[in-house]
Formats: sequence, C-alpha cells, structure tokens
Amino acid sequence: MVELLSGNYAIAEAVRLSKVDFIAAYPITPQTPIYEKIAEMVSQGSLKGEMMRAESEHSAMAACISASLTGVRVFTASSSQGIAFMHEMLHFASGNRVPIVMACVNRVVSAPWAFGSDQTDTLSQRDTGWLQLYCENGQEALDTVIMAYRVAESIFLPIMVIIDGFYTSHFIEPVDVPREIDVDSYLPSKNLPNRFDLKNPAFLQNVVDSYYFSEFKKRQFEDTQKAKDLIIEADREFGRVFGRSYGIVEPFELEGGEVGIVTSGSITSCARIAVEALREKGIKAGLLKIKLFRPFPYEEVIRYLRNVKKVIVIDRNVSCGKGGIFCDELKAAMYNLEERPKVYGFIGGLCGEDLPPETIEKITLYVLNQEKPPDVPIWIHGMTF
Amino acid sequence: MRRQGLFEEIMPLSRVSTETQKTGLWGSLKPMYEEGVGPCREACPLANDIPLFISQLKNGELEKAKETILFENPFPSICGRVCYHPCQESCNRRELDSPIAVRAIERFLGDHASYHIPLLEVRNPKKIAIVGSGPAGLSCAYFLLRLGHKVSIFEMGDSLGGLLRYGIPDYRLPKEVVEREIKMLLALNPEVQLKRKVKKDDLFSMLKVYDYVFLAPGLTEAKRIGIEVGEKKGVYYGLEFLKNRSCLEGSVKRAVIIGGGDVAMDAARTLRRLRPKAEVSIFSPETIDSLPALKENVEETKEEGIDIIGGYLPVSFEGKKRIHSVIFQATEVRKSYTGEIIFIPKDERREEKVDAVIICIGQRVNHEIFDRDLFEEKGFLKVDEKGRTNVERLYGGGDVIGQKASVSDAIASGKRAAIFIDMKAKGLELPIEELRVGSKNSVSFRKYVNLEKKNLRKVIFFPYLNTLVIEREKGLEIEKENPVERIRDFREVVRTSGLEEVRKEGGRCLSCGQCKGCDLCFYLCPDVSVIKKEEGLYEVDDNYCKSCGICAKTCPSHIIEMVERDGGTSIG
Amino acid sequence: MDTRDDLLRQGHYACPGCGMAIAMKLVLRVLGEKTIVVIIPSCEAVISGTYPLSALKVPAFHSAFVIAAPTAAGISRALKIREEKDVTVLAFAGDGGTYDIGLQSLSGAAERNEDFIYVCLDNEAYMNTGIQASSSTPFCSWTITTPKGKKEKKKRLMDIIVAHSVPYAATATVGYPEDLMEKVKKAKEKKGTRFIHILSPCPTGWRMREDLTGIVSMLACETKVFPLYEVFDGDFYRITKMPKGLPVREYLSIQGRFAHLNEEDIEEIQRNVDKEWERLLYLVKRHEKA
Repeated sequence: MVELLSGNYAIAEAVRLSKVDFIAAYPITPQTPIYEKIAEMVSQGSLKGEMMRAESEHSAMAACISASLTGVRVFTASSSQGIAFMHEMLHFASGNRVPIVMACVNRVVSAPWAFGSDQTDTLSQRDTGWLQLYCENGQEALDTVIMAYRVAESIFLPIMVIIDGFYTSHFIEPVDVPREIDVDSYLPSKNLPNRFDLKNPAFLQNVVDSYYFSEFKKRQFEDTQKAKDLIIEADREFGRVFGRSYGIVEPFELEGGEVGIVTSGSITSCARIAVEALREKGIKAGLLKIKLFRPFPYEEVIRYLRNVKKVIVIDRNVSCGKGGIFCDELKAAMYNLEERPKVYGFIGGLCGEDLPPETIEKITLYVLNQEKPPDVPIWIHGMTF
Repeated sequence: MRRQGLFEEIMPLSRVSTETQKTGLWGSLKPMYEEGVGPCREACPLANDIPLFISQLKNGELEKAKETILFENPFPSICGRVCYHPCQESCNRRELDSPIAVRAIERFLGDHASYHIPLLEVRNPKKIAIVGSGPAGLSCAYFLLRLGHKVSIFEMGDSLGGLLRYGIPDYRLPKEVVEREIKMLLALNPEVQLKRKVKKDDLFSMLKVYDYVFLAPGLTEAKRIGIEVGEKKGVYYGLEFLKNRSCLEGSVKRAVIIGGGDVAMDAARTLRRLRPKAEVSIFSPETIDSLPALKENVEETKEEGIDIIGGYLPVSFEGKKRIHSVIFQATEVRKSYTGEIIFIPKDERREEKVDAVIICIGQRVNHEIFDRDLFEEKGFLKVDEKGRTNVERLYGGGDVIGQKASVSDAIASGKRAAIFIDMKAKGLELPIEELRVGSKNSVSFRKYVNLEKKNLRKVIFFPYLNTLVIEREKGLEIEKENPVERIRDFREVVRTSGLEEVRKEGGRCLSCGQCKGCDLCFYLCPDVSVIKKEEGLYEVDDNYCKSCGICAKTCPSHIIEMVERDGGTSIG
Repeated sequence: MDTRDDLLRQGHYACPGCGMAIAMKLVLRVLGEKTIVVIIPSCEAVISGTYPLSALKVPAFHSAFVIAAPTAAGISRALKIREEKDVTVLAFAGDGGTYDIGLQSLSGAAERNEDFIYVCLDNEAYMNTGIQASSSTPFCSWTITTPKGKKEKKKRLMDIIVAHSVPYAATATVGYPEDLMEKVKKAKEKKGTRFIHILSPCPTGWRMREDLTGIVSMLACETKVFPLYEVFDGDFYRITKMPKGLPVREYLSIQGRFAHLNEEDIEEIQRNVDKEWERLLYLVKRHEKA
C-alpha cells in the first residue's frame, strides 16, 4: 500500500515488517525519527519486539551483538558521532559473525559541528567488515532493509543500510509499503540458533593465536566476497515477489558513452536529470549508481566503465590526505585494466551543500575540456565555471 | 548455511578442557593433611582427645564421644567433678575470650552418655595383682582388663575406691557417682578381694602367683605437723576427719583449718556442714592467690562463709587437755632452686582462739607395707618412667610414687603401668616417646592399641591458629546450689550442665589440630585441587596444585603443612 | 555431599594464590549449570582459557572491555524473547572494567534495571596489563603508575551502584566464602540488576606471599577496610559480618604495595577507615532493614 513516508519512517516500517525481535539504539539527529517510531510501534504492539534505551551507541551495539548471538533478530540505527562512537563495536560485530542490520543516516562527523548530509561517517567504517548498501530514496531503503535480513542471516555478517541524512531521511515521498504476508514469504522464518548452548557449553570468542586469527579472518573475508552473490540473488527474488529490483550497481545510458558520472545515495537523483539534459545537448553522458560498496563490486564497475572514456566520480565525503573515497576505491578497482578511463574525482555536497543537476552539468562540461585528470580531487565548493 | 557446526568454522568456540594443562608441575610443594593435638591434650595427664570428643558431642554422637573418653579415662564422671583441669589452663581459646569448660563437658558425657566397652581377646592373658583400689589401682585394672588380661584387686578397706570414696566429700563427689563408675569397671570381671591388707612379705609371694603386681596403696598416713600436739583434744588430721566424720567431738565454736590444699578446703566445708554455728577459718602458708587447692574449691569455700587467711604457719598449739588457741607466724613461701618448698618466717605473730583444729598438710607413706629398699630418700616408691620399681615384675603408681597428688594423675599412672605391663607380656619394646603427647608425660592408650590417627608430636599452639574466622562468645556458666541452702547437708554443689549448654560450649572449641570440616581449604583453593571425599576427608589433586599454600595458611586448626613432593620439579 | 562439582575447571593459568580464581569458582558453584557467563579482557579472560581451551563448564562469551553490562543485558533480553526461562546471566568484570572504563555502560544498565548478575572482581589495579592503578586502587598503594603511592582514595563504587536503586548490591571477599556464596544465592533469587563487589586479593600485584590470599581478605574485613554488607533496593543497608575492629596496620603490614608507608600514612589510613566505617553505620541506621 502506498503511503507518504519520510525515509526514516520507511525504514521503521521495514523493521516492523521484518518482525525484528530486539532493537537497542540511542537518539542522534537525523536518525531519531526511526528510534521514536520504533518506540511507538513497540508500545502500541504493532511491533512485537523489545526495545532497549541504550545509554550510548557503543552500548547499543554491544547489546545487539550479544542478543544476536543468543539467537534473536536485531536492529539498530545511528548517524555521524554515534557511528564513530561504536567503531570498536563494528569490528567486534563483524568478527563475531552476527547478522545485525543497522540503518545509517549519513551526517557530518564533527569537527566542525554541523548538521547536514555527508557520507564520511559510514565510509570511515568501511574497514570494519560490515556490508554497506547505499540507498537513493526511502522506497529503496525500506526494500533494502528487508533484503538485508535475508542476506545477513544467510551469510552471518552484519549489514549497513545507508541513506542521506535530511535529504532522504526527512523528505516525505510516496512509498509502497509491502504486505506483511509477502514479507513473511520472502524472509526466512526466524530460527536463529542460540549460540550459548547449555547442553554443549562452549567459550565463545576467546583469545586465539596468530594462526587461528588468520584462519577466521580469511574465512570472514571469503564470506564477505560471497555475500555479493547473495545480495544479487536476494535483490532478484525481491523483484520477483514485490516487483522492485535495484541491482548492486545501476547503469543508466552508459552504452557508447563519452563520459560516465558515478554517484551514490540521493545525489543520484540529481545526476539522472543532469545526464538527460546533457544527452539532449548531444553529449554522450551516462550514469553509474553504486549501491553495493562493501563488498566492492569490482566486476560490475569494470564491466560498465571500462569502455567509457572519461569517468566523473562525485563524492559527498572526503578523506583528508587522500581524496574522495568512492573515487579512490573505483580507481583502484580499475587499475589492472589494460585500457582504462580517465577518472576525475570531485568532492561536493558536503554537509548537504546544494548540488543541483545544473552544477553536475557544468562539471561534466568542464571535464570534457580537460586532458589529464589530477591526482587529487577537485572541490566543487568554490569552483567557478 | 544454518548448521550448528557452522559456527565453529566462523568464530572461535572453545570446548577443550583446561584440564589438559597440568599446572601441578608449576610448584614442588604439596599440602599434607596431618591432624595434630591441641595443647589441652598435651596438658591432660590422661592424654584425653578433647577436641575429638567435643566434636563428637557437637554432632550429637554421644556414644562415640563416651567411647573416645573411655579410651583414655575410665572415670569421666569423677574427673568431671574433681580434676584440676590443666586442659582449661592451656586451652588456646583463653587467648580469645575464655577457655572451654572441658571439665563440665566431660562430666556431662560421664553422667549422660553410655558406651559398651569391648574387651580384647588375647591368646595368653596374664594374671596381674593390683594392690590398692584407689584411682591408680582401679585405672590399672581397667586398662589391663581392656587388654584382655586377668586382674585381681586387693583392697584393705571394705569397699573399692580409696580416696575417691572417703577423701572427697559428697558435695563435690557424690558416692553414687563413684559407685556407678566402679560398677562399670566391675562389669569387666576383675577378681576383687576386700578387707585384704597386703604386707611386706605378701608382695613376694604374690609375685610368685601372679605374673605382674601393681602397687598403688596410696599415702595412708597423714603428715605429722612439726609442732607438739600432745594429748590435746580437738586436734584432728584432714583425711582422717574426712574419712570418719564422727570423730569430731562436741560442739565447735571456732575452728581453724591448717593448710591450703583441697583437703583443707574440704575439711573446712565439711566442718561447716557438721557445725553450722561454728566460725570456720582456714590458715595457709601460701598466699591467697597461690593456694594449691582447686580454684573452684576455693571459691565455693569462700561462698560458704569460710575465711581463708594466707601467709601464716602455726608455731604452737596452746591448751592442756583441749586446744584453746593456735599461735601463727607470718611466713613467706618460696621454692628453692631444687624445687623444694621453703618457709621463711617473718616477724608478725597472731593468736587465734579455737576449740578445734584440723591439720591438712599432706600425707605420707605407710612404711609397714613394703620394704625400705623400694623407696627413695624422699620416702616415695621409686619407679621409672614406665612405672617399674627396682624389683622385676613389680610396678607402682598413684600418690605413693610421689607424683602430683591428684585423681587424674593417679589414673594416668595406672594407665601407664598397664600399658608397659602389657608390652612386657607381649615382648614388645616400644619407646615411651611413641605414646607420649607433645613434650609432656602423658601416654595415650588409644595410640597404644593403634587406633590413634593423629600425630601426637604435633601440638598446635595459639600462634599457629587462624583465629580471624572466630567470633568472640561468652562461655558456659556453671550452675551451683545456693550457698546458704547447700551447707545444710552434703548435697552436690555443682549441677551437671544440660545437653544444649554443653553443645553450645562445645561449639566454641577451636578443634586445635583436628579437622572441623570447615571446608575453608576446599573453598579457598584457586585451582580446584582440594577434593572433598565422602567421609569428610580432604585430598589434594597433585596434577593441578600450584603450591600456593593458601590452604595451609588459612586452616583454622593448622592441620596442613606444605611439604616437598617426592621427585618434585619446579618449572620457571 | 560435595565432591568435585565446581564449574571452574582445573588447569587454568591463574597465578598461584589468585583471589580472582577463588571468587570465580565460588560464584559459579552457587549459580549452577544454567548460567551464561560474560567474560571481558582482564585476568579473568586468561583464567577462562585461550582457544581452543575453556576453564568454564558453562557457556561463556569473551566480550569487549567496556561492555560487560550491556553484553549481559543483550543476552538476558534475548533469552526472554526466546522464552528460555531460569537461565542466569552473569557478567564478570575487573575493577578497571567496572570503576573506570565500564562505569558508563554499567550505570546505563543499572538504571534500566537490566536482568543479570554483575560481579566485580576487584584486585584494585589493572593487573592483567601489569599492575597499573585504577580508580579502585586504595590510597597510598604502590602500583607501577603510582610509584610513590596513590594520592587519591578508592572510589566509593557501592555508593554509585546503590544510587541506581538496584534490587540487590553487596560486598564480599574470598576469605569468607560462605558469606560470599550466601550473597550470590540471594542475588540469584532476585530479578533485575544485581551487583556483587568481591575483593579478590592479588599476590602478584599486592606484592605479598601467595599463601596469604585468604588471610589478607579476612583482615580486610576485620580491620574495616572492606566491610561486608548488602543493600536492598538502594535504601536498606545490612552489615553481614561485624568486624573485630583490628588495627589497619595488621592488614597493611603483610602487603608489599604498602611497604613504603610511614607512621603518618598509616595513621591517616586508620582515620579514613574509621570515618568510612562511621559513615556506613550511619547508612545502616538511617533505614534499618527488618
């Protein structure tokens, strides 16, 4: 049924439909409406789960991990400082192989203090072993949360479902909320085992030596790679049941392109409009939306971009001392190709700074006039055309 | 991918027991559990296993407790009334609050518990004659009977008991009690010959008929005072007076008892009962604080309105046909470097007007019984540490050998002689040290018959105990009859305590050297290496014990020692 | 009767004389087999064993340093959701993981009255990492990071916990095992956040002979340095063992970490101990528990 929902509330609906058992969270702008909505659903009984008012994000994730080990479906959500605060726990969760789904609502990590959309919070955690899926809008977020439980509980790895703070989290759009009965048929029935087996007791997660550390870590790495196929399968099956499918990347008009624009999250919607406008002007421009960031979709990125002459990557994030994170990962993915496109990295939209389609058109035109891409990213902020 | 076995592959799950790590190799010392004895047992002339019978009483095992006592002492009801309780004086608990009232507990068990005494069957029982049926003779008879020998008791009086019967008045030791305990002995079937006075020559013919003879005739004569008495009436001697109270003539207005021992106290208290209107005082050369009599006896004497004046010796008795006064000289009593008691006269003198005097300055041997050769210079029967005289197969014990003149010590000498007679009969040669408790003289019968599990050498003194676990508590209060009422007759003054009282008092016993089963070693072993066995014993698992020694240090009764393990190696 | 039915196995790698091992053993003995244990980085993790070994006969989880409390909370909440009844969730934490880095998460869990038993195994410093001071280290104690003796007093942890009105909080020490086990038993019978603070002497860190663990913890109680009491519902105090009132000197003199003390220090410590004792008596009187 189609409802007018903000991205946050859409995620809350997904949590309800997934019949999550346990939610431990801490309020932080712009995630709070998810937390509040879940509290309302629990108190009204529409979600038959338990909610823990954790006193910090670090404790929230800690409780999620141990509850998940005990064999219940868990969810949490956070942003910005909160995600940073639980950094230690993120490593701990993936190493413990727990199928937690966390909604991350991207916001600037201070300093300076500011409130606006910025992917640096989740991207800073890209080494923690969590799977990361970047969503363009509320509908995609709702759908992806449901898909995430199917994948996580199959491969036993935690998954972040990520949306832009304020743009996606707070904008209200029509969202098709699936029927409960359909979600029940799509998600596996909950029989997560309790790893604390009283009949055959074991000491879980005690200290290992370097040999066994490598064994377990290598296994985790391999399973993370395998997760890509599971996500593709889950997405395909979602399409079959609910009629919507997203893929792990989405190519748009990239065939025979001179220039491909690579985006993620809500910027993609602006980029779609920019690409159409450029095509009308006769420029063979295309778009690649990256949804799956971890595990990195090497194959798909190479497949869609190898024959494009120039690639523009717009990063709503920055790693000072290097560059835009999507751009650098993408460059690294294509490094081994014999022939590869010239990649121009742009940093823009930090803290939600306006990045309309016109600006994207302008930087595309700019790039078409450039010979060689610089090593460091170009800041859109302060650019004059 | 949902199999349970999956989780072992993706995260560390540990199920192998740490028992594969033999941490017992870390140290070379291992705890050794060995029970010892308390200073009470060392001090007791009878080597009574006091912590054991107290713990048996606490557990409600009254028969077992009686059995324990009867191993070392045939007369608990008697000793429980008259013993000078050296155990209480050395009880470790006195350092905390007050010593355990062992005597009262022994009395209770004597009066209220029963145990059927087993006799050993021996292939070659010997025939032993016992001369004298006081505590020493009866004790020797008892232990020899238990060892399976044939015993004949010769008593010159018309009933058994000796001093037990006539030397201690009923208000301290009722005759029914003596009868009851002697009856228990008679049930073991000795041959008894009453009214048989044994003289010098009899001894040698006895030695022909019997395999061994035990001499314990006692000191039947009173020591004469070194001042002239003459034919004055009203002068009596202590034990003779106690034996035959009717020798007291006429009414008495003012009596003086001379002496500071129990006989003096008893003479005074008896006189108080016979002549309620008389004014009775005791004059002793010793100071009030150092009277040789039992403290309880002194206290009860004072309660009965009898004055005790210390530091005086009589120098003359005044009067012609009847005594009318005694002249006393102030005296200081000292022990010489040889241990002899010497009296140093001081200047002051005082005169006491009296119409009766009872002299209680001790007893001496009646030499008409035996040969002079048997005696040493001080006039006592000469015996060695095994109770042997210088005549073969002739043993001696009791007051006659010059030891401390007490019932308990007499019983102890009888026990000792019985043990060594039996040893000789069996051709055994055990050194006496094997049977001794600690560094004192008492010997254990239980050890002799190989039923003693404790190490009698190991005496646990107060500094060894861990008393942090002990709460201070009030001790047992002994109930006595009202002093005004009780002097009307010879009723027993002290009441036997009740079961709950003695159990509560027994609860205060620290069980020095004896395992209480407090479980501290078991609970406090960090390495789960103290194992509790079903019978309440503990064992150590050498595979895992790291030699930390907490068990040894924390044990309240000091039973555990850390000793080198055989072939022990230490790692690192 | 009792035989070797402990839930802590032999062969663990605690130092000889370790008070923490004794505490763990006794707590587990009372709680029984239907217990899930949370272990955090601390000597307790070393004792509990490294992969593939376990010194625990019950299921356990090696969680992170800060999070003993929320980890236990997560498990107990999940058990309720799964309707698995009568399983006790136990968190073991050291003094560092309770007084310092873990204090926030413990406070959060206690405020929510999460259902688990939290046992603080207090050896009064960060011993696993080599004797560094924590806020539990007592006044004047030597540690490697307070080489001249700690200038600050030991934090009043029980007061902090009691301020959350938890249903049950108690102090205990290994020298009085029956008192300790009685308290664990009481805790087991209640619901909500139950807290037991166990003084666990460490011969290695306290610089004392390894056989003195039992004695020194008895002395801690008898000298009033570490009184044994319990608090019900944040209000009702009850002293479970009246100290004999021995002078504090007897406690200090057997530990090398106090060897550098002079007379003034000892007197000051005695004054502090007496003052804290008076304060405790006042708290007991204020609301007498029937």
